[in-house]
Amino acid sequence: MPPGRRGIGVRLPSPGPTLLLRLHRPRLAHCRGGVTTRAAGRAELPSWVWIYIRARTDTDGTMVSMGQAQPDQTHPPDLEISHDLAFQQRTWAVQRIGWVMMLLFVVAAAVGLFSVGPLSWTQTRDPEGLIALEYERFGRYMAPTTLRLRLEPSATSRDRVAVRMNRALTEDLEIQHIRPAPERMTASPDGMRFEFDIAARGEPANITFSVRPQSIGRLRGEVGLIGHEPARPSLFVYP
Amino acid sequence: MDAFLRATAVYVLLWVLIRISGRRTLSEMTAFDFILLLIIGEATQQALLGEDFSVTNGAIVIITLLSMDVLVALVKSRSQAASKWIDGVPTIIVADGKPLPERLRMARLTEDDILEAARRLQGLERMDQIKYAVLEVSGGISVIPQPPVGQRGRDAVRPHAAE
Repeated sequence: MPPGRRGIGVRLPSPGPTLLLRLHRPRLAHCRGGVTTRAAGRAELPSWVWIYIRARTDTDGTMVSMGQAQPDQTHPPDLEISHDLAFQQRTWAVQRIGWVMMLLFVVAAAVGLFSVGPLSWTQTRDPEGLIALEYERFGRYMAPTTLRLRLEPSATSRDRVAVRMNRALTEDLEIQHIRPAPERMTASPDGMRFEFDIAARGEPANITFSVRPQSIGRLRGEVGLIGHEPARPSLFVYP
Repeated sequence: MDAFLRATAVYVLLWVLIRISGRRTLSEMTAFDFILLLIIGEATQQALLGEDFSVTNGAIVIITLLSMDVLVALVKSRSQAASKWIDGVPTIIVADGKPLPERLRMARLTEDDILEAARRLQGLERMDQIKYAVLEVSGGISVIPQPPVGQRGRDAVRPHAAE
């Protein structure tokens, strides 16, 4: 007989409403792909049932003998219990997959895939290199985070510098405080303008925005000096 | 809407996590398990309520959770398959005084756990005095003792033969 799938029917006495088969492991070892069982007439079992067993034959084509198939003896006739070993075994298998997923989740959290961590911190610059924005790539809904804006010496050539933020940032992030506080904040159709006094011309300066995400999902921001191309941070906010 | 979504999400998340971590985790509780449960409750509370401390929000969360519970109970009573998915199935772990090692391993139980349950519930001393031990859906182990010596054999496990 060539290797492949074969079916074989076994007639067994009906053990009750739940039918379980115990298949002997030594025999299973010879059969690749395992054995599947399908009980006919689950709802109202007659005193005898036909069980159709599909098995893969061995490499030499020998049919795996099914003569040993018999009802699960540990499913006792005198214990009224809705016992389903096959289901239980599937549950256990799924649980083990679940454990691995929980472990992966913890590792992902540790490296910052869910905000706060090395993978989360990132930096972006504007094309002209006037500013650098450090921020967290991943945020969480309503959890405080910071945007650190660094003004390079080339950006602080005058006493006052005007920074623009687009609406995605000013509306979807609730700005809690800005350090140093801007001298002036003005609204514009596409976002907000912040004007800061510069203490020392030609020196780098840092501005920190403490914010809280107010919306969930992808957030495409623009932060830049007025009249210059902005840096484009992109945040993802988890629910 | 927000509170409803939060409550539903937390309900489903907790169900999945408790189902994955296995039934023994929250039932046969040790002192440490109990503390863990409290911390889980505390962490859940924040996700449930957010920053809205209004009575309305509390009411929405409570009513959503209770409704989910009633709904799940209704589904379980209608369908045995759903009941299996939601709660799991009981598993026989000792048959006729013999522990079933593979099942014990998968259920993260030891023979000592069974003996403990046998002592506590039935005052039994040895494994061979146990007829069946079942790991119940609730996570507890129930023990059925062997009948007294005179009656043994009559009710003992017998292989299925043509009846």
